[in-house]
Amino acid sequence: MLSRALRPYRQSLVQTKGVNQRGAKARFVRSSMLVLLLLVPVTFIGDRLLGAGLEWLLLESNFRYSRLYGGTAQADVVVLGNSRGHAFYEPEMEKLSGRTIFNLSYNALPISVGRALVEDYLDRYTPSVLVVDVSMLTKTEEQITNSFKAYESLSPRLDKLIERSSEETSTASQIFSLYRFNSEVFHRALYYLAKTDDDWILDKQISATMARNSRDLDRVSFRITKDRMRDLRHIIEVAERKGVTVNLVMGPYYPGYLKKISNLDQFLATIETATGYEVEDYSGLIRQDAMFSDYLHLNKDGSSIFLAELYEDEVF
Amino acid sequence: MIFNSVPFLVFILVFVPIYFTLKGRYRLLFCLLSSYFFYSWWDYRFLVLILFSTTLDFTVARALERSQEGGRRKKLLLLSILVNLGILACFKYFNFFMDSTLELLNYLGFHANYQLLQIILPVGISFYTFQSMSYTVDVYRRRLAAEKDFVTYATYISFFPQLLAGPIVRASDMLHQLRTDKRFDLYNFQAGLSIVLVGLFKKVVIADSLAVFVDAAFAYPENYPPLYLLLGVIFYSFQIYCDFSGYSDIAIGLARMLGFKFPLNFRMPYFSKSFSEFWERWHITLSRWLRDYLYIPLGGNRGGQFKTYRNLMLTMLLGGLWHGASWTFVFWGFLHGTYLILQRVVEWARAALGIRLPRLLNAVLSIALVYSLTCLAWVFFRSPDFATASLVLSKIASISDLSFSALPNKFIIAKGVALIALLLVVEYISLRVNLSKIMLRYPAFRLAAYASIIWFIALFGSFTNSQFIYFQF
Repeated sequence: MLSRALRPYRQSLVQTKGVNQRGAKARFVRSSMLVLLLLVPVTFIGDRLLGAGLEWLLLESNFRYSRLYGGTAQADVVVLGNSRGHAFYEPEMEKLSGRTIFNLSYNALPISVGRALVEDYLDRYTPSVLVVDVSMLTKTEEQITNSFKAYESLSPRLDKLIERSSEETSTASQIFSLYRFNSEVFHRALYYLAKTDDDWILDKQISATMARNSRDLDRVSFRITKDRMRDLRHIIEVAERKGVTVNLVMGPYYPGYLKKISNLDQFLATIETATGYEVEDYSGLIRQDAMFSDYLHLNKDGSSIFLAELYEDEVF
Repeated sequence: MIFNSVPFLVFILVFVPIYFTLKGRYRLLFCLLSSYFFYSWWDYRFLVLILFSTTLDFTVARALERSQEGGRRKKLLLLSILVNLGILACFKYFNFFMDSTLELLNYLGFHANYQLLQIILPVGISFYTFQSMSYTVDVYRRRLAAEKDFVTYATYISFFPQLLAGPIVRASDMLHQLRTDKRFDLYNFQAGLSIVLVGLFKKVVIADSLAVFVDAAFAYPENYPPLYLLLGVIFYSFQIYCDFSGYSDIAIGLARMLGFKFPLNFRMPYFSKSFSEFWERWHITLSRWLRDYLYIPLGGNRGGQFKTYRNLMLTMLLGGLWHGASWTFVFWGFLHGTYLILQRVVEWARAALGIRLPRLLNAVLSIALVYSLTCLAWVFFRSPDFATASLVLSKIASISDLSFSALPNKFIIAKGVALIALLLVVEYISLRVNLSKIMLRYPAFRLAAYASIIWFIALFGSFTNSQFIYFQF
């Protein structure tokens, strides 16, 4: 039965139509079998070797998370946020306070990833202050969680989180080591191979059209979920255990956008109830268009005003 | 079921060994049922449509062959064409025609109202309808004998590698291939595997990476500077090329692995020096279909210049409409019709005036001009409406704020530019050297190529935007 089933394949070994001469046919068959047999081991060995090379590059980078896991991220003040967290412009903060600053913020960073990063940071370093911009609790992007797969071999917490967030991503990363480096986070790490990332801030002004359009924006409602509150509470508990002072802040929004947020007070009150910490609300601090790069983000000038206010209020 | 998905990988791993183990009629039947299973993975209800269209054209073709009476034959052909176009009109164009009619009536002052229907567009309908129609036309013209075996014909219409988005394979190219048993052939298998991997690379690595940037540019053009939008248009030209030619490559490669030869669908179109050459390199099977079943029956280039221009324009307008039920697609066709007509006028004028440029300069200028004007047409093809298209074009035309440093998404831009450069280099090399022959001649090169493509897909592939653009057509 098996012999009959395999007959077409055996016959094919001498029926390669594309190759004409008999000797050439046999050579082609032999080389083809060799190619197909070697393909799997060559692919996987190459994948592991290239993966090891890229991991070395990753740890050579000056990108914030490479420094975190590479052991060169000791600072007095550590900051956590999403893209709005880039307003915690490190050179300005260091100039104001004379203290060293380390920013863990990333675009659309979910609080669950933030929790893993803060825990990893506090396992390795001893800061005295942790500042969290709570606007990172407003939404979660699974894609961003998966983007951190480049660091999963260096952090069991991230590894577990990615596995929970997307089983497919986790499995694919296990099969293909190179797939771990298929992410924006890794591309940024490459970008910061030869330069520092502490100048990461938007340096443009909101366009007149965008400013005008803010009048027509739909109402915005922040989603409040138990999971995100639990993650924030956990961050605070871990920091407290390590003797780190925690400050929760809500950074400025563009005035036109701020007006459209329907449940900001409720959102902040929920955080305060869940954590027992007061949230310093700076959402309406800045009113000039020239200080914003869009509805959600301050530019460099706006950041200076914001940071001066934070310093005065002893947030860092 | 789409090619770049895990269910398809499982499907093909099960399909191939069973396919080569079976023989004759059992193999054909297995192929047909597997193709129907492949289609019903998307929506089993629309199998009825394929079955209906298949049965109708099979029966009509048999009747056409038997009949000697001219009038009856014409009626039979008309029946097939009307039913096929009727199905297409019903599922693809009904809302478009109703909407356009209402707009026209309202414009003329008649206030008509109508609730548009929620019609699902069956995937692949434009492709298999064209295949089916060309078969009856060929039998009518007595260029092809009607197929006597229903299973063979049904397999031709629904063969899974080309069912959803082509290439549009003619019955004369395919039916005889289905009638003979294909033995497992290592040469074909490896040649097919190489083509599949290249197609996957084009789709997953290039097209899907560019899609992230393009989608943002066309969704909110008001938020982006001109340079970003210009890059968005250039990226779209390569996204649609890699998406569709990637799909075609996978289809051609799969067929080759199974022992079938499909016609080529793309041949480095952005290296074209004229628009007529572009259409000999872009979606070749559709271009040839339109030429043979529309342009030539309309009169082709017989009957003087005016009639040639008219026929060119009509063919391109209908070609545009074939892509989608929207005036933006029709306008895209109009632009290409205009380009083809202008090209003829310019060629005539150049010949009359005796203008000749040095060969290399002429080639570079021609390629740049054809590519730029093709990109202009892509703006209308990609935009959801004319307002978006005109906003994109007017912002690009303003040529203000061209600084690269002010652009968002620089990482995606850098990745996109690098991938496009890689594609162009490989395509340029393959214009001069037959890479696939070299690959098959040197085993080490073959092994390195296979492994490298897999590494590239793992490292640069985008797995979030996996739908093929041409499925919607």
